Amino acid sequence: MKNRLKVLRAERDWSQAELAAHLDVSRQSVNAIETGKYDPSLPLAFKIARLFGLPIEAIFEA
Amino acid sequence: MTDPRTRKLRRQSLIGLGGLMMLGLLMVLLSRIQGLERPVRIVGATVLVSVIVVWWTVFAIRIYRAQDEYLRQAERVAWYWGGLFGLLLSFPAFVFIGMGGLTWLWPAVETSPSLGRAFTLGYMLPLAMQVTGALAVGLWWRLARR
Repeated sequence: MKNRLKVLRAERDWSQAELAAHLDVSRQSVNAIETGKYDPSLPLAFKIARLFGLPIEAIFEA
Repeated sequence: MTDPRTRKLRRQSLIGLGGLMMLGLLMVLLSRIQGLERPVRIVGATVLVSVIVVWWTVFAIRIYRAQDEYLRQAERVAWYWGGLFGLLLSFPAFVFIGMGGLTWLWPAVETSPSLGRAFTLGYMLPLAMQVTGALAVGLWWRLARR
């Protein structure tokens, strides 16, 4: 699954660790999601969407 | 900068493993105390192992809670596939050793029917407990979500 997480993070000038702290996940999770190697659960996808103030489909695409 | 969740996970893992090593050390010390009666030694070792089990249960829960979904998924994959392949690899080794393969390779290695039974029991006990545990948790998981 593709996503815009890296772009959104860069727009806010956050490191992976900072984004991880905002989402209460590990930095490895952020890296794995950004590189498309791990698809987040629905609750985490909603959390990401809420954090960036965007609908889920604006961040993730199949 | 390390994220708070990873710091928490590392802290829990270090305390858990540190405590486990200390308890393991106590176990070694107990086995080296001279002049202890056999029942005292057996009961002492059993009690100490029970403490180790409780300790590791507590920290297994704390470590699991400190992990996020990605790390939990990694654990599940590792335990399912790693555990399965490890188990499958152990079967030929079990048959080879059980049939006296080590004695065949190194005649100095002792073998006897009672040693063979002890080896089989030692192999089967954790295997049977792990399979039973997996079946029980699998059943509970399905029933709890019906």
